[in-house]
Amino acid sequence: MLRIAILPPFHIVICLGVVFCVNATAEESQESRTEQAEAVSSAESNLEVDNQHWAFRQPARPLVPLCDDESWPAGEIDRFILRKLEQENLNPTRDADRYSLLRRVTFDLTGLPPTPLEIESFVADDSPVAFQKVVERMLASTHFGERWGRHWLDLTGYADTMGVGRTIPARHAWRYRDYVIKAFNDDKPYDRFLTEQLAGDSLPYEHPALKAEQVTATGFLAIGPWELVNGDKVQLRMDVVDLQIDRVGRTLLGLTLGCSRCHDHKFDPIPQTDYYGLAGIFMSTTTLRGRLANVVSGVNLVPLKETAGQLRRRAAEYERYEAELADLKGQRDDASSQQDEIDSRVKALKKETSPAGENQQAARVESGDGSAAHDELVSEIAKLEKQLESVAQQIGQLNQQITILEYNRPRTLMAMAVEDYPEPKDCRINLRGNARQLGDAVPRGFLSAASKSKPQIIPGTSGRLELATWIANADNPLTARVFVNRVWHHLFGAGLVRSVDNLGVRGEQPTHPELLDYLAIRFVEQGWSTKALISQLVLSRTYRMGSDYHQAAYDVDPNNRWRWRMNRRRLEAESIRDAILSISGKLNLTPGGPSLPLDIAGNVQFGAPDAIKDSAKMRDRDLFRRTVFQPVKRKQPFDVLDILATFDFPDPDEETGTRNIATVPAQALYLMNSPFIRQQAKATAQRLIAERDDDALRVDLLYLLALGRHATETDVQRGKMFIENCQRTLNSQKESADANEIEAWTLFCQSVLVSNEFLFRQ
Amino acid sequence: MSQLFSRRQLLRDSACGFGSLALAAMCSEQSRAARSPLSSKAPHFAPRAKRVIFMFMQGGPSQMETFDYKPRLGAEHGKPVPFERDENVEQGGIDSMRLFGSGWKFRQCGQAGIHVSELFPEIGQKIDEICVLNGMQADSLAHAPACLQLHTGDTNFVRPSLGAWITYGLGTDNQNLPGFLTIAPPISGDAGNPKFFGSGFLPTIYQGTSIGLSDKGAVIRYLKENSISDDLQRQQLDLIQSMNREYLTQLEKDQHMEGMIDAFELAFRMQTETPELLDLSGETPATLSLYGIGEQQPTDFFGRQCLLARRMAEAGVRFIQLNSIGWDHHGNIRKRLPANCQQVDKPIAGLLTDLRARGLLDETLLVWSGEFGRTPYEQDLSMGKDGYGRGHNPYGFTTWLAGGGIQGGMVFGRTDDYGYRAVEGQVHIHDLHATILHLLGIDHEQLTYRHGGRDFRLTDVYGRIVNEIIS
Repeated sequence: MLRIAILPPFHIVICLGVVFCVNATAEESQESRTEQAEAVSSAESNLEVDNQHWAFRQPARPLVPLCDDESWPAGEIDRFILRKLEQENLNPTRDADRYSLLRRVTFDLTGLPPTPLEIESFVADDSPVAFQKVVERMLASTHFGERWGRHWLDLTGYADTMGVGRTIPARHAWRYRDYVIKAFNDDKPYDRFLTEQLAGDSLPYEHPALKAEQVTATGFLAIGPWELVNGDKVQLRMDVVDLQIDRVGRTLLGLTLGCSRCHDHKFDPIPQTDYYGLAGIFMSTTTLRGRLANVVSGVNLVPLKETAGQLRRRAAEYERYEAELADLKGQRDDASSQQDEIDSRVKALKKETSPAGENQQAARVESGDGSAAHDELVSEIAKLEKQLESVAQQIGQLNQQITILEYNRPRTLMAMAVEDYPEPKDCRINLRGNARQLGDAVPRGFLSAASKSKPQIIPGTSGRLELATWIANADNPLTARVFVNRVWHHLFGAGLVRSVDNLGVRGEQPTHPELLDYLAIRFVEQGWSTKALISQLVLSRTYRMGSDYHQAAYDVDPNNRWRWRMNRRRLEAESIRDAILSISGKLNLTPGGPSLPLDIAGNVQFGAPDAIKDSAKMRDRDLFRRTVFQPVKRKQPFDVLDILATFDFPDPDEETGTRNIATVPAQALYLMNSPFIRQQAKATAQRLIAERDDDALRVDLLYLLALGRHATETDVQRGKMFIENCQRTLNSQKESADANEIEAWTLFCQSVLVSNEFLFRQ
Repeated sequence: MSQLFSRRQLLRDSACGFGSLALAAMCSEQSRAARSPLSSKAPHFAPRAKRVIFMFMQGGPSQMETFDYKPRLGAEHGKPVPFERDENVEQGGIDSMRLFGSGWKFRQCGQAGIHVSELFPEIGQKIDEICVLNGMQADSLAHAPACLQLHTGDTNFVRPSLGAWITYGLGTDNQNLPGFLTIAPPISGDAGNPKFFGSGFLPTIYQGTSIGLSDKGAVIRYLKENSISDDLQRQQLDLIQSMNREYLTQLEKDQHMEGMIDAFELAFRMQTETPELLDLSGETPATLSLYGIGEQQPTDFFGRQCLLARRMAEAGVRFIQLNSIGWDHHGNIRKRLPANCQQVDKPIAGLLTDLRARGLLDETLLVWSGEFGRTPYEQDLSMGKDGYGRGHNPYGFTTWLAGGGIQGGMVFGRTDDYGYRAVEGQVHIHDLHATILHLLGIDHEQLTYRHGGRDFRLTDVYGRIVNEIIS
């Protein structure tokens, strides 16, 4: 028997008369007034319906259900799952084997494959808490933040370039990325995390580092696909506000607010006035400031408070910079004087050889009239002119180095961040979304449908802090639900509400509403701790289920809504790339710092504004760093990162909580023919040959590294046969036994690295 | 065709390696096609065109110099602008605000005597195939948002491109080629962006495949790895597919993994079929000359695009985009515009001729458009060093259509006497999209995709079908 306490729905009082005060101006036709009246009445009826919508009600603490099979649940989460399965006459599938469980949890929590050592020790550990130890180790690893921080960045439009049209370097953006990663590693309480991102600049601080961190956090609002080059600055400002509202709505509240720019929301109880109440908050926030060049707007930059240590370090850096600059300039001056010297010698020699002008000299040379001494002079001139050419080239290179060095001079630490506008004010309604047809001003505020408490905005401020307080609040029915649902989605492959970005009326219904509420309430009670939430979820038996197929269960529930097994998933782009690099032994785990290769001469197009060239090269030392630390270029990514877009790494301009998982021929072409895969397969082959003497052991090591399990006898035989056949073919094509051995192993390693078993996590 | 083999059975039983698997897969085309998201789908109603060739003139061609004849503008050349501009909009180099007439003559062409600029002599001769829309309107006067709108309908958010929507709606006829190809697309700068052929929230299978075009020919990235011999790669594919098959057998059923196995098969077929499609060496000298193809000829680059488009149309590709860049004439328009026009004039006329001759024109819709047009007043960004040009103008510009379902030899819509603002027969980008879908047999209000809990469509809440231009 399912016993769940149901609380009466919380009724929201909305004063419609106040909410709808769209003013009909003189220019407006009778027709559009009628339209408005219709919109009002349809939104009114929506409001009545939607007071009942589950997501706008406070989460209700459910009773944990009892199950028929009391032996299966390992904890309370499992009881919710099992009870539902029992109601649907389904059975949970058997537990995953240890190999696939370890591979699953390692990818899920760190984005990397387990190492052979980790596999051996987990499989050999008989302790009942063996798995718990693994989970604790991973949650403590810095790779956890690198993985989960990236999930958050998907929602925020993070990129290392700005502008939509041009590739303008956003050289300070990385600080926000590193802030997010650190927040997950520090297990910063989620309510605090949100507050800092919305209004970190207005929070009190105890020391400079904290202030810097809080200001950096507002990169959440400052970084985005702003069309900086738009000459219509009124439109641009409203577009930025629109994108910010959309981001806050989708990411934090699971609502689509963007629609209300032009009209009352058709489905959710979000009247246009709510939108403009929020718009006033963001219009009172400085996101853009100044110009990068004539018509190109700039994004607001805030100098960060530096600690004494940072100031000292920067002073030392500046000294080094000045020394290096002086050195380069010295070299250039030397080269210039050398140039002058050679130049004057050439001129002198030319005078000597041709007192009567070049024509006569040429005539003399042609007629063979020249003496031996004259020939010598001519060849001397040719030699000097060659020297002159190389000196000029040298000067050109030095100038380029000087430009790029000056471009990268040590600066005050800056963050892309927002601040309050000096004169905050309410926003006027843009009639039908037109930034030039203005209706009434709407007092700044929050959503009327999902509000219990409404903090008063302190006069003279934008209202972002109050917005943050209203969102990062246990009383807000959406915030905790949206987040725990996102976490569930990342671990189980689909949310309890499948439309993770939309918990509104048109979003999907939760499959396990009581479990969702249970998790949301627990999450808040445990101090909004993400790590506690994740730990609880992965230690559940539900998470430890296998992904086995059962025809009978599949027939009833093909989409696994009731969780009779674990969802199998293709690895995300960055996991594929990072795993391949880790298998080949090339992965560079250096964390953090600027990503853009701005210090390479030729990468930057200096101008108004500066841009990163399409032909820009990455720094060699950064090539094999983890994907999260690779530069994200809006529009075209770097060629060497082609794998990302191929495997559905999201376009930074599209903020989303669910990535596409596409299967397209372009992926197969990439896997078969790209230099990246070929090179890493070769490095893997070399590693196997260096680390193991025996073919069977090599195959086994490859399987452990790439697939997280030992090779079976069949695997070994198939591998050996393939390699022999390849070697035979290669030997008939070219003679070089060693190279052919490596090539054959390369082809084999590549085959395993592109196989479904590698690309998917069970 | 009988359902003798299930796919799994086929995979399990096929012991002769990848080649035979691919063959078997092709033999069971029907069952495979039934599952493929690219398989041809029935339109909502009888279509007037089966495919689209979309010619993007990047940068915003001037309407006053091409298809929108403005004698009064010419007569008042140099006089102050007599109409109002939005003062909030910043555009450099337009302080003088003087009218700027076209420097070229217009000829009356075709049976209807439509005015076409002398810069398009060849297209002028084809005007009876063409419907000129002189009342076009868009929402943004900056390249990036305007280009996004032309290609996706939206100026601000990431949305699927027109080609992706159409491929999603109709699938494609040739299962060995992508359904949406774009040749030499601009991807950098203000007016370039991979989103022009992106799939947005639609499944990625519907995104456009980019074909690079250089002196060496047309290429698709990663199509071939030349350091591996064909027989070695065949051996390798056999191994990959046998591992995948075995794994799938263990797991019984997995849609994504089956998809990956299919993807390898299609990729393998693309490796053979695409180079043939892109290879122009078998075309006759007469054909090459019809399109203006030949080394050193200014028409060579766009000519090859047009000829490739005809080959793609024949091969059953659903949406083909051609791209001509550099129509953003802020300065020296009198010198630079003729070069742009020359590059595309003969190739486009050649394409129209060739499609007509092959009986393909009636089932192919051709679209010629920039993201916006240009101002009738002068602009000078060079402080007098360069000649005058024109600013961006989304309030009135020219697009033209030809082919399937289009009333040729017609002008629809009109701008004011100066060519600044559309005043009659306005066609917004949303209307253009609705009309294109309509001609393909798609109801633009019915073609939706649910994303994030919302049903999206190409035309959002807009779109009027321009019935007046349909034959």
